[in-house]
Amino acid sequence: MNAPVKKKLKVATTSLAGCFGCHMSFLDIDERLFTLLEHIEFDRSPLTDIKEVHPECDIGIIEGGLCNAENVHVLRDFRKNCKILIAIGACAINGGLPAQRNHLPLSAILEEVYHTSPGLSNGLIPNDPELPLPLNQVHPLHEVVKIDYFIPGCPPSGDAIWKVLTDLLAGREPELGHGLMHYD
Amino acid sequence: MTYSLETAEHPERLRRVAIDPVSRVEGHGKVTILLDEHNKVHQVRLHIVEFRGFEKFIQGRPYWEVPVMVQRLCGICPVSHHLAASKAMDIIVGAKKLTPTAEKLRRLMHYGQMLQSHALHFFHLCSPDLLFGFDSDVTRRNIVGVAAEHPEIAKRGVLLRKFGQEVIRITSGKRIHGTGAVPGGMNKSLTIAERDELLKDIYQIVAWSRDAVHLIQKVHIQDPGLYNSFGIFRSNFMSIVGHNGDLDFYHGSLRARDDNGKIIFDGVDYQQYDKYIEEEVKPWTYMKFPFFRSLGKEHGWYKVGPLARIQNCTQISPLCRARAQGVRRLRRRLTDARTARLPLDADDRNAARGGGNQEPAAR
Ligand code: SF4
Repeated sequence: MNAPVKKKLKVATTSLAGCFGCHMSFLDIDERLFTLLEHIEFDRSPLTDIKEVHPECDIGIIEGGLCNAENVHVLRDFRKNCKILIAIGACAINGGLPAQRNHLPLSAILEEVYHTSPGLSNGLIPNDPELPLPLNQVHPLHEVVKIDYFIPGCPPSGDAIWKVLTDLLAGREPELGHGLMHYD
Repeated sequence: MTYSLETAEHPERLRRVAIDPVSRVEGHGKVTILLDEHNKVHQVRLHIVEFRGFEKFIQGRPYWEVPVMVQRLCGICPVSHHLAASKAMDIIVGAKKLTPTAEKLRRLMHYGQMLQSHALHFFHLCSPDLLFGFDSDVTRRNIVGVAAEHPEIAKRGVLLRKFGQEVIRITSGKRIHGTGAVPGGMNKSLTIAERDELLKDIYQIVAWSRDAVHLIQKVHIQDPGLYNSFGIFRSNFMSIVGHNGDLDFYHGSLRARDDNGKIIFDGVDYQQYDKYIEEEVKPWTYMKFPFFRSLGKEHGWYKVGPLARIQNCTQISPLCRARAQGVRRLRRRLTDARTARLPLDADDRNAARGGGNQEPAAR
């Protein structure tokens, strides 16, 4: 008798204040992507054109910290709709490199980049209502919502991401063994 | 530049449609479109919604940190930023010339970057549109759909990208955000074992890359009407070109042409870029708008990137030349070359007019 076909798990991913490097590292699982696709399907993700997270999404993977109001909105939406939420990479876990701006006043940075830096033909700080408001500081995800798992690294290796996902698919508690846990 | 669709006169009376976020591209953006009751478009904007402030926060850091910091601008093309910063730091530390080995390794690293990023763009991000059509079902229109219906194409895309990533790992220490280039050179050698590992697969990779060009030719032939006009807009363009105007991805001087292929400037030292280029700020995006000072902001904007590099250079390698020729022949068969403006056209026209003393590119 054939075993009943198991429903594929829905996986949503997004990049907030990140560089897409963590997403690229996800693709660094290489051919294992095809094995993974036997067990999961992508929901909202930079790889698909689905714009809304499915209300019963199984796993949400978030790269990047929070640098603007829109990031916070997307994060809350992921938390609301995903059963398991994973923070991937240094930016999501502690703000990462973009948090280097935290010791400077936001206004001074905007002022310099858009007003006084050399080579500008005009000076103004972008302020259209279509642009999300920048936050004063870059924040990690867990300051705003509960995060179930953290995968450290900048980015974590494809092997580390593969390990966490296969553990979850097998119903095991994810664990990063020797060599997979690194912070650079 | 035609600014006519940039700002509508009465936005409050128009209906807003947004593509948010823009997916299957490399970066964070959204597109807004304002339409009237007859669905006529009055305003279209691409908003780059993220502001990070690298320009400011790298100031005051140790200089040798810069190449590893700025590559985190983009995890898709980290090597390009890593090398650009390393080259800037070479100048700062007074390393006028690298050792030949260091330069070759940096070049190799960037070829890996070119390969993986183009594979990603072509296979993972674009191929769903090319194979299924722009209006196909949204749940299928992605790399997963390609894997299901064209497993061989998807597999090659994944393996081409993998090879590029391996070249980067071997030259820089990590697939993403490595540390290979340092001010004045490289901090990692290429061992014989590593070299042989790459050589083992290289001919397969070249063959698959060729097949990818055939694939796009096949897609093109199926709907010449669409592909001869899709996404085509006339513009100036700028890139670096290497020695003798060769295509070069690592070092050279700046060359700019207008939309007829006529040289605007050439042989410009990139350290003098600010004498030639200025940037405008607009309120509706965090991206700046660079333009050639000599032409002003209305007319001085320009294309950069792969198309610009190919159109701009004087010659490319014999293998690429053969590919480019194939594309041209194809286009000539399909349509009148003058009405169909495909990449490389500027050089065609340039050559047709005698092209000054410029060699026609990519013949
Ligand atoms: S953790 Fe590193 S690789 Fe991941 S998004 Fe942040 S900068 Fe990029």
